[in-house]
Order: sequence, then C-alpha cells, then structure tokens
Amino acid sequence: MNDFFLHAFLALDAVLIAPFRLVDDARAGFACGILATALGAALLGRACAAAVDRVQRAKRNRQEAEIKRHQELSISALAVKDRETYLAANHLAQEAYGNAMALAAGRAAALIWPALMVLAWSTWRFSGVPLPLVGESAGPAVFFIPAYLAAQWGLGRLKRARAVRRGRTGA
Amino acid sequence: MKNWKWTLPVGLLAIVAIALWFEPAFADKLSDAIAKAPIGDQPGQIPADPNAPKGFLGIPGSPVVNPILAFCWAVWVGWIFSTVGAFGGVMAGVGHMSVFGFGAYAGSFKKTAPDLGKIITDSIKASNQFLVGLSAAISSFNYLKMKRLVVPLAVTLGLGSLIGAWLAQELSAGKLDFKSYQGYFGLFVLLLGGWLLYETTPAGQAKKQTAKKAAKAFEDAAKKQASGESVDPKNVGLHINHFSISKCAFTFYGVPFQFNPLIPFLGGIVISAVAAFLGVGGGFLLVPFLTSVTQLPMYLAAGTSALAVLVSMVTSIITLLMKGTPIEWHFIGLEMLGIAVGSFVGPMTSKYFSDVWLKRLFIVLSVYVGVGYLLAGFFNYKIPGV
Repeated sequence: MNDFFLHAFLALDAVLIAPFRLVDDARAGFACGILATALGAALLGRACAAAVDRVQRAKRNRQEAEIKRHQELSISALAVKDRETYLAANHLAQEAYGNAMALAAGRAAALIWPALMVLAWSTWRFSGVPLPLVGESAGPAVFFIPAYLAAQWGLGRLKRARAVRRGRTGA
Repeated sequence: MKNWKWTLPVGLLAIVAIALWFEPAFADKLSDAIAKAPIGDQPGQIPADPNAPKGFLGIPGSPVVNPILAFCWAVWVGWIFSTVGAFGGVMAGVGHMSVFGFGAYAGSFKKTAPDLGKIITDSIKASNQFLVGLSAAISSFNYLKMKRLVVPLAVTLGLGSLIGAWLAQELSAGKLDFKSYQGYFGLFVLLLGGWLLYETTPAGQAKKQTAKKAAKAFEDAAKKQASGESVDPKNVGLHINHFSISKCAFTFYGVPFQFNPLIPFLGGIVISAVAAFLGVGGGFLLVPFLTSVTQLPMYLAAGTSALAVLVSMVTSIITLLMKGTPIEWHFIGLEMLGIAVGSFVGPMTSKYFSDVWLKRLFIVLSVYVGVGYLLAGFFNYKIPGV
C-alpha cells in the first residue's frame, strides 16, 4: 500500500514539475510553472464543482425553489402589510437557506481542493529554494495564491462571455 | 468602489497571500518548541531517534495518519453536511481530535512542553477553520454577488466580525492548552445538540407548523384574490430612512422596520469570536441571528451576512498565520477532496434515510461527544470512544 502511494506521488510530482522545466531560464520557468499549475488547479476545481453540482441538482433545485417560494410569499405579505405572515414565511425561507448553504459548501470544497494540494506540493518542492524576487523570505504560496485567483477570475469571465454568445446565437 | 463585488474578495485573499510571506517563520516557531520538549519514549516527549517517523506537522513521533482514513472521515463529514445541513464543523473537529489522535498527542505535552502542545492545538483549530470556514465563505460569496445587501448593516456586522475574529485569535493563539480547547469545544457541541433536540420537540415543531399554516393561509387567500392589492411603486424594495449609532429605521415594501445597529455589531463580535476560537464556521449562525434581530428578508440577510462571514474567516486565518501557526496544506487538501466526494454521494443516498431519524441520530451523537469532551477537557475524565 505504501509503495502504491509512493508511486502515485512520484507520478503526480512528475506531472506538476513539468511546466517548471519547460523554459531553460529558472525565473521564467518558475513563472511558467506557477501559472500552469494555478490554471490547472482552477480548471480541475471547476470540473469537480460542476460534477458535484450535477449530482446535487435535484436537491438543490428543491431547496432553492423552497427559498424562492417563501421569499416571494414574504414579499407579497409585506405588500399587503401582513407582518405576521411575512415573518412566518421568512422563517421558513431561512430554514431552507441553511440546507442550500450546506450543499454549496460541498461545491466550494470541490472547487478548492486542487489548489490546496498544489499549495502543499509546491511548499514541499521548493522548501529551502530561493525564489525569484523574495529569496528565502517567503514560500511559493505568495506567487501561487494570486495566480490561482487570477485564473479563477479569468475562467469566470470566459464562462460568462460564452454564456452571452450562446444567448445571442440562440443555442 | 464600483467593482467591489470582485475587488473585495480578491483584496482579502491577497492579504492572505501577503500573510503567507511569513511562512518560513512557522518552521522556526515549531522547531524552537520541538527543541524545548524533553527527549524520551514516554507520552509528552520527543523520541531520541532522529529517524523516528514524522507524522502531524512533521514532528518526530507524532501520529502518522493513514491518508485513506483521513479521506474516508472527510467523505463522512461531507456526507453529513450535504444530508443533514449541519454538523460538518463538529464532525471535522471530532476527526482531528479523536479519530486521528491529534488531541491526545497535543494533550500529552501539557506539562512537559506546553509551547509545543499549544502550537499543535492552534494547528488543529486552524485545520477546522480552513475546512469549514473556507467552504462557508465561498458559498456565501454567491449571495454577496447578488448585490442584495444593506450596506450600513453589512458595515456594522462586518466590523463586529472583524473585531471578534481578531480578538479570539489574539487572545487564544499560542495560549490555549488542548484540554481547555477540548472542554469548550464539547460545550459548543452540547449546546448545538440541545438546540437540535429542541427543534424536534413539539414546542420546536409548533413554531414551524404555525409558520407553515400562516404561509399557507396567506397563499390560499392570495389565490382567491387573484387581482391582489396593488403595491405603490414608491414602496417597492428597501428604503433606509434613518441611521444612527443606536437606531436604523427602514421601510421594506412600505412596512416600517427598525433595529439597534449595536446589536448586530455585538452579535458579529460574539459569533465570530466563538467561530474563530473553536475553529467552527460561523456562517450558519449569522443568518438566523440577522433575520431574528433585524427581521430582514432572507435574501437580504444572506447577502449581508456573506460579507461578515468572509471578513471573519479571512481575519482569523491571517491572525493565526501571523502568530506562526503551522498548517498542513496537504492534509486540508485531502480532507477537502473527501468533503467534495461526500457532498457528491450525499444527494444519491439521501432518499434511503429519514431526515428526522438522521437528526435524532446526530442529537445522540452530539450529546455523547459533547459530554465526553467536556469531561475530558475540564475534569480529566475519559469516557470510551472519545
């Protein structure tokens, strides 16, 4: 079993270190590796979150419909100044929100686990190695986290742009 | 600040990245604490053999957790979270303390190497905080993106959360021995169990039934009155009429509401401090608190509390990192993967379980764990399995 884990880890290490070795220059290689692993972690995270979302869809739709129904009911009650019904419907909406939030937490975990794994690997891989700009005063996390956030933001924009294009073409 | 909805979280997380600048200091703090610990083979000592297996935090002789066990436990945590809608933080804590054996290991240094014991305790807390808090913060962010928030309330609640989270870590990081932490954690689990128990009692159910009846009656009346009453366009949405240190008055669809902003501020302090101190997510406490105190509609409460959840989460992580708390990234990553798998499996299996019986099972479990941790932490009395 230990051998299996060791081989799995070595295979993963070979995959993760590859982009760092694409360029001969050490600084450029490091930048290339950080960007590639950040983008890879963001993509894998989004794929996992989408898979979890797919399985959760029925339950999620139920919970969100429940929230929406009670929320709309509470607003309608307010519109006719029925404060008691408003508070009652609001209480029911809030209960459904708690369940929807727990489902969303699962999707969030699916989204960020690859980033945490890359963070763990890079901290171990570059331990004691002087890094560009910061030397040994900081770890690779200082570069990886902003790159990962940028990758997530970029993928988010891309997804929205695609949705808009699809809407225009009526697909 | 036009683009606040993305600049705010990015800014907050960039601060985390800056805090990670201090990462090399973790190792120094931990090695100093290890160096101070006595050498030997007894509990509370560091093995003399330099080749002794290094487990949690790379400490020689510390518990080596089987990755399969860690993963399976995390699947269980994720499954509970997605099936019951609660208990994730509690179960993650039970895993770290009892299942993986970090608790007993941290406790063994109470007299021999208190500094090392406190660092391990802080790390257990931080692991929990990452697991539960980060997920809650990310899922809350969606509500923040909807732009449904009451700005003055978000500011007071966020400020309270920031102070609470900072205060809890500032006062407890590096000072809390494991036994005390375990005792307080037990007390929290017991209170949570008590609240769940109340919800299953006739009195607790009655409140829900009354709410359901009121909602149903209104729905039926609205259907009969198909034309309905028209709403004055001036009254649509939320209008803040007055905001001072002791009074926030607003109308929502023309109905007047008011609350004292000091209450959400103090509530933010208390909830965030408890969450940061115990390493449990405070997100699930903020929305019920906000809806009951301010009587805001659910969407507005969710959006407003999302900001406070993000702020308190990032504050406690930064404060812990600045205090030099070591973090096992690979361990948290593996657990996150397990939670994701558990959340994937949860909806597939939920049809085979009754919600009520699951809740009852967790009430029994939380009472047992809560009492066990309370006794072990405050009275040094161990019950089996805890």
